[in-house]
Formats: sequence, structure tokens, C-alpha cells
Amino acid sequence: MNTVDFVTGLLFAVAGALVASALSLVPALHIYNVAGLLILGTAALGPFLPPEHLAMLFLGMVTSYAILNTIPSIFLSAPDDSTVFVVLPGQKYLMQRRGYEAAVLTGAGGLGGVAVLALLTPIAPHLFPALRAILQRHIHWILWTVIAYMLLSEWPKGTDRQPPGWRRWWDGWKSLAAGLVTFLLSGLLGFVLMYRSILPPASAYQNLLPAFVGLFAVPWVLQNLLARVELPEQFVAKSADATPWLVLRGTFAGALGGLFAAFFPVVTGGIGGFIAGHATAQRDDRLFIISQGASKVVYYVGGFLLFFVPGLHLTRGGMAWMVSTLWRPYTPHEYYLAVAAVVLTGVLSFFLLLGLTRLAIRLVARVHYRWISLGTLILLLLIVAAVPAAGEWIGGGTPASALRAGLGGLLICGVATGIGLVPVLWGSRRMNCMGVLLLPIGLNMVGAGATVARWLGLIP
Amino acid sequence: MSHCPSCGRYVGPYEACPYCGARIEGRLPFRAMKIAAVLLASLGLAVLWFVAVRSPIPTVQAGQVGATMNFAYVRIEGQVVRGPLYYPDSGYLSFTVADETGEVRVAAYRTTAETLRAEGRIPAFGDHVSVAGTLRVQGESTSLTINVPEHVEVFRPEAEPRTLGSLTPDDYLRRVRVRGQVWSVRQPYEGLTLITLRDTTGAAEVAVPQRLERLTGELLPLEPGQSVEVVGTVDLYRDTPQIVPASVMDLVLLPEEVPVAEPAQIGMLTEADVGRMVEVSGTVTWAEPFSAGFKFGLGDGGAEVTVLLWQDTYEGLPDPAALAPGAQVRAIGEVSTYRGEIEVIPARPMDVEVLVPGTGGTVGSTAPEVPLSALNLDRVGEIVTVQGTVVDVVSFSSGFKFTLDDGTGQVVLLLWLATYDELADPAGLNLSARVRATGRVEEYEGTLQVVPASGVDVEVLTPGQAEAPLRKTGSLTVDDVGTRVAVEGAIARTEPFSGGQRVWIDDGTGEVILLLWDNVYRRVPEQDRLIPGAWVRAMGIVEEYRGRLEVVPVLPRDVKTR
Repeated sequence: MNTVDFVTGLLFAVAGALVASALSLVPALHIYNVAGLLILGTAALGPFLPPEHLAMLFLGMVTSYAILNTIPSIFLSAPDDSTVFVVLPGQKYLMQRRGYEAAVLTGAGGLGGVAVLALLTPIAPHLFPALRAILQRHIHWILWTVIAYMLLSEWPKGTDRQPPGWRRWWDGWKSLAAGLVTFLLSGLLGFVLMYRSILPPASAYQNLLPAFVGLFAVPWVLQNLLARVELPEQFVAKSADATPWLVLRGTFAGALGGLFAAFFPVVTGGIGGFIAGHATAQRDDRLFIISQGASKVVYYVGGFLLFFVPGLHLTRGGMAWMVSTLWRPYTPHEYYLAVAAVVLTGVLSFFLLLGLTRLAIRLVARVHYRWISLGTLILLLLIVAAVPAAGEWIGGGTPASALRAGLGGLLICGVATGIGLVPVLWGSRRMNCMGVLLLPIGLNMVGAGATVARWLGLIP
Repeated sequence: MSHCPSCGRYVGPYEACPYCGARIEGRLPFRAMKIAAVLLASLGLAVLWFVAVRSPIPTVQAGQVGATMNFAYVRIEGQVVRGPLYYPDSGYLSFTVADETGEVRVAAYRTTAETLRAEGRIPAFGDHVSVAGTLRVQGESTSLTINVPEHVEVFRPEAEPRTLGSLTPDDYLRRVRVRGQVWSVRQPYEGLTLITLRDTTGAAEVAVPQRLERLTGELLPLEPGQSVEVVGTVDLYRDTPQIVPASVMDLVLLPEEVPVAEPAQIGMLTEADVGRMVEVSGTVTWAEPFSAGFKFGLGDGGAEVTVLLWQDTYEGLPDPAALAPGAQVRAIGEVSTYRGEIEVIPARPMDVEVLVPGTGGTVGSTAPEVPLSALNLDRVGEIVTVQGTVVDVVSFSSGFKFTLDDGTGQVVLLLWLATYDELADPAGLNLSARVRATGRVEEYEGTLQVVPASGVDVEVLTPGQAEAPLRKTGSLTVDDVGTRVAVEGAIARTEPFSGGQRVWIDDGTGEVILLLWDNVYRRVPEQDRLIPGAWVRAMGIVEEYRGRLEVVPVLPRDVKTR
């Protein structure tokens, strides 16, 4: 790889970071959806970029997204007064006029995550292939252990105000029951989508997009629409309430969870961060915010970087899966270029975070977040309908079949929204919605997936 | 409502709470939302399931598959053009399906693969299949993972009866049934057995890869000459048709023999038959060895053809001596021409059947005994009997030459290796031996030689014995080059080379190389004792090669071990 190729690759990564920095401000718009649209464009119009440059563009996008999606999650997902003490600490900060500080702390964690990925560069080509060789035969039971821990670690959340007996028992256990119902229903949805998806094959690469939008994004937006809170005026602080030691601890905990999620199939950043949080016994809100920042970056970016690691080329995370359909890295130079791109775009994104957070503060002061949420909802539904419809159209379908495909996407999204609302309204963990992947894939890994699908009538 | 449902404080007749701003009328109860969410989730899922189970699995062509189809659950229909490969240890199964537009690699793992194997539903090469699974697109490579064994449907076409010679590259992927005789069984490399089958129309190979044995069991041991029926699909190896069975059970032994050649009249053989396998029968009119084997004339009612046996074929005959004039022989071989003459060349010892053994010798006692001075170029081609004393012996790669002297003249008695091996007393045939031999007079580079057809044509009247002074191994010098010496000592080491074997011997005074050419080395009595540490005594001519002195024995019996 010569200097020109190296610099060109970095420039594409920077371009990706700049594109993603603008898109990351749109609440609930996942960067994978944007990348999916680019893949769809490639399929429809032919390659508009050499695949190796597209990979670097995507790398810049995912790095930037991993750091900057903090902004909508803090400023555009405000809790109402009844839940302010149990929501994420970042949103608590927001209600205390400290949203900017929360964003900076998350960004600091993200920078720490970038540093961890850079520090892993010399050992990654030796460490990860060996780890994979050791763990490959054990992934199925590890995954089931994660599922069991996820379900069993939720505790009853009663108010203790109900009279003793069934009502009191139900008051405590209804959130647990809701969690299990959420996991089960989302798992059944996953089975339907994996074995008999109603979407056309040409949009299969985004087969789970309507489900994920429905499970996570739409309930979030609906929650915002229903919320009746007025955001307090935000204060842009000159310093953050954290010590270097705290940043290091948060980064370590976050990197641990992020690496776990990045390396294991199906385990997402949320689950990884949750397990790492329990493992490191986090009690401090600041520590939690920093670790979430680190975990997100290590999960999203580290997962994609595993695709570049010489001797490993592991496909983890949506971005790697999408890029792998068009291109595969072969040389160590591509890995080193990717790490350089991550470091460059990571630092760039941190500074963009500072500026864009100020912009978001001004925006939410002038435009009510409910309007922003409404716009987001419309955009999400358009994406959910457009991706399958465009896939069908490109695959040679008729306008009627494309319309049917779009409606199919909306149907899936609607069903998933119903499931995604259950934890929101019944006070259980949203993470249980990950049953959409965990249940069918976990059962497939132990060889029982087809049997369950047969019970469900999904196998003719 | 007199109290705010949001903050619980008294609001009186207000439509909005003066404390928290919440509206008093038209509020959506949380309970309703909760129930609606659960209903939407469960009923919506039921509707989705209802729609999904009524949607057919979409069938796509291999050429349609693109990046956006990654993870699509689709059906591919086509013919298996590679594989199946199955690894029991990892439980991995794969094969490649092709349709008119392209190819897709199909894979199954662990329990799915094991179920397919247990149910006998793994498709074979050439089978038509309909397979549903999850597509995986990675750059240029496309694969489909089978998740459900029931989603593999295999259609095996009826086999078409064919002759081996009729198979052409156009038959690629056609399922055929052939019968033939096992001509040879070989393993070009670990993991592939090639069985050559022949019938009267031609030959074809049956390929049995090890992966097929892993899937369907061990191949029954086949021997050349056995007749079998094979059902399989035609594959191509460098444009040559090969038959690949679906199972080792598709090779069945036949009780009756499948002929590999049509009987032919010797007189009817022409150049047009070149390349054809024929079966000829007749009487041996003459027989003689040559440098690379043995040939004989086969007569059939006045017509004659030469039957040529390469050395390995000849050595494989159960009784080579029976191939003598007068023998009744049936031979199967390929018709060939050499310098305008038609030859039949059997490829295997079993293709030469001696029905009635010959009388032995060239013409035995009927050949006139002539003094050596009477031999001249005019007698070339005649069968003569000569007698004389061995005065010189020369070894060459295909045999040995003994110069005979009867006082009136000299002649070379040439014994091809096959003839030498048939000698009744090879130990006695050495320098100073008195010998009588019958053979054809030939001329080679201006020298007359008598060439016996068989070992029985050579009779050692008085055994000879080569003699030479015994020398210390360390005492030989360049001045000894060309002289005959005897040496003895312990073998220090041995080393093969392209033409034979080098043996270093040492009697304590220094090493010398004993160079044994292949024709000598292979015939040394107790040759397996030529190992380091053994004691050896040898007689030979001293030669120099690249500054090293070597003692080169001429005859196998010049080397003795103990």
C-alpha cells in the first residue's frame, strides 16, 4: 500500500465521519440504516465507489456515529417527572441542566475506547485468532449463559403499597413477567423473520431493520411524544466533574463490555455494557456515563475492526456484514490503515461532539423535542417502508409488489412496536427485546432452532 | 374531577392544573396503553405469523444473488456440480449447486448435516436438488446455509445404459449405467481411487473420492479382471469423461465376465485397427527377448502378428518359459504399429493366456552347430548352435555379453536380462566356462552376436570361475584402473543412485566404492544383506569416476556376502 492509497483511505474515513456527524443528530436513525441505503444504491446503480473506499467510508461513519449518537440519546429522549429517578444517568444530568457535561463525559469514554482499540493493535492479530480458536466450540453455551443472566438478574420492582396477597405479588412481579413476555414475543418475531420473512429476498440484508426500528426506535419516539416534560435551560460547563482515574476506570469497564459484545455473535453493546457494569460493580453515575461511552465505541468500532484483523477477518456487527458482501481485507496494511482511520475520525468526532452538543442545546431550546420526535417518527416509517419496497423494485418486482413489500415492512415494524412498548409501559428492561436475535440464534446454535420453527408451523 | 390526575392537588373546576399544567379532560389512561401494547404485540405477531406461513419460500436463480440478498431465506434449484464434501469430525457438509445462471455453494453444519446424512438425503454429484436456506454473500462468493433438513429435496434421474466407449464430454452431468471389466485400480493421490473399466468399445475411469467413502461406506476391494456394473454421473477431468457414483454401493460385482475385446482374425488386422483392443489366438512361431521386454510371433492359419510384451508384463507371466515356439496362446491387447508392422500389445500379464505350452528353446536341437569361424553377415537371422569358452564378459543395462571362443573364432553370446534370469546355472556362466548356446544370429554395430530366445537355450558344459588377485581396499591406486581385482571388507555405508547402488567397503586399510549397476545389483544373491556392517567379497574392474576409484563387478555372481 503506497502513501497515496493510505491518505485516500483516511480521507474517505474522514468523509464518512463528517456525513455521520450530521446524521447522528437525527434521533433513532441508526447509521446501519444509512449504510444499508448506500448498499442498496450500489446494487441499483452499480458501484459508485471502489469497495475498499466504501469500507473506509463506513468505518468513518461508524466511528463518528458511536461517539455522536450520545447527543440525541441525551437531549431528545427526555424522561417525564415520574421516571426521572430511574432513567439513565445521562438523562438525569439533562434534567439537572448538565446535559453538556454528560455528553462530554460520554465523549471522553468514547475517546478512551478509541485509545483501547489503538493499544490493542499490536496484539490483536495474535490474541483474537487464538481466542476464537478456543471459544468457537463454546459460544452456544456462553450465549445461553448470557441470556439466562439477562433474564434472571431482573428483580421485582413493587411499590409495597398494595395489600398483601396476589395483588401485592403481581405488583412486584409484573415487570418481571413483562420482561419475560417481551423476550418471548420478540424471540417469536425473530423466528418468523428468520424462517419465513414476508420481505422480498432483495432486501434481506436489512431483514431485521423494520423489527429493530419497531422494537427500539419507535417506542422511544412514542415515549417522547407522550412525555410532558419541559427541558430546563442547559449550562455549558468549562470543566467536567471527573478525575483522570475515574475516566480510566470507566474506560476499562466500558472497553471490557464493548469487547465482549464485539467479539461474541448476537451479543450487542447494550448487553455487553450491562454485563460489564455488573462485573465491575459500578455505583457512580459519572463512571456509568463514561463506561457507556467507551462501551459503545469499542462495540461498534471494535466489532467492525475485527473484520480487518489479519488472520481473523471476523464478521461482527451490521457494518461488517454489509461490507463483507462487497469486499474483504487481505493484508495487514489494511488493518493498520483502519486503525489509523479510527484514531483520526475518533478524535475528530470528539471535537465535533463538543460543537454539535452546543448546537443541540440551542435546537432543543427553540424547537420542542416533541416536534423533532414527530419528524423522526415519519422519517423512520419512511425508511421502514422504503427499504423493502426499493429492494423488491431493484429485484425486478412490479410497483404493486414493491408496495406490498413496503407494507410488509410497516407490518413488521408495527408488530415490533407493540413488543417494544411492553417494557416501556410495564417497566422492564428494553434489552429483553434482543430476544429477536438471541432466542432464534441461541436455539439454532444448540441445534433446536429448526425443531422450534417446525412447532411454530414455519417449516412446511 | 376535583383533583389533578397528574399531581393529585385540588384543581376545582379548572380544565388544566394550575400547578403542573396537566390537562384534566381527555387523558389516556396508562392501563389502556399497557393493554393496547400487549394486544398489538400478540395479535400483530399472530397476523404476521399467519401471513408468513402462507408465503412461499421465494425461489431465486444463482445469477440473481447480490449483496442486498445477504441473509435472505430462499430456495435454489439446480444440479450438484461439485461435492458433496463431508467432514464427520466437524459435522460440516457442502456441495455446489449450479443452474443456468451461476453457482451457489450450499453448506450444512453439525446436527443439520448429521440429520441429512442419517436420512440418506445428502445429494450426490449430478443430482437435481431444490434447497432452501439462508444466503450468505461475501464479495464474489455466495453460499447458502441449510438450517432445516426438510428443506433439501433431491431428485436423482434414472440412469441411462451406456457403453464405455460411447461416453463423451457432451455427457457431462448425465447419469449413466455402464458395465465393464476392472482394468486397473490406482490411487493417484491420497483421497482418490481411480478404477479403469474396459468393455469392447473402450475404457473409462470411475472416480471414487475418499469423501464418498466417508459418506456411503468403504469401497469394496476390486481386482483387475473383475467385472462390475457402475451407476454414476459423468464428470470431466481435463475434458475426459469420468464416472462418479453416488454411493460405493453403486459399484456392483457381476457374476458374468464382461469381455474387453472382440475376437479378431490375425490376418484381418490392419492399420485401421490401431488403438483398438483385440483378442487374438494362435500358435507361437518364434519368440525372443529384446532390450525392453519380450516379443513373439503369433500365427493363425498362415497370417502372423507380433505380440509384444513389455518387461513388466513379461515378468508377471506365471510361466514365461511356456511362451516358446509351438505354444498355443490367446492374447488380448491394443493394436499398434511399429515400422509398418502390426503389433498386439497386451498391457497386463493376465491378458496373455498360454493354452498349450511350447516345446521350449528356440528350436532346440534342430539348429545346426557351427564353428565360430563359419559365422558371417550372410547368416544373420539364422538360428544356430555354437559352442565355446567364455573369454570376456561385459555388462550393460539390458543384459550381459559373453565372448565365446572355440579356437576358430569368436562371437558374442548376448543374453537379455529375461534370458539370463532363466539360466539353469547362472553361477557357472562366467569367465573360462565352456558353453553351448542356440540362438538367432544378429549383427550390432558390425559385431556378430548370437541371441538365445530363452534361458533353456544356454547350456553350461563346464562351469567357469572369474579369478583376480585379492587386494587391500586401501591399496588401490589410479594405476589399477582397467584391471580386474578382488576386494573384500565390511560395508561401511550404502547409497542408491539413479543407475544402481554404491557400496563402500573397508577392510581396515581404507574405503573403496563397489559400484553395482542396477542389472547386477538386483541379481546379487542375498542382495538384502548388502547393508552396513555386512562382510562382502567382490570381483570387478577398477574404474575412476570424478577422481574416485570404483570396483565395478560385471556379473551378479561376482559379489558374495556373508
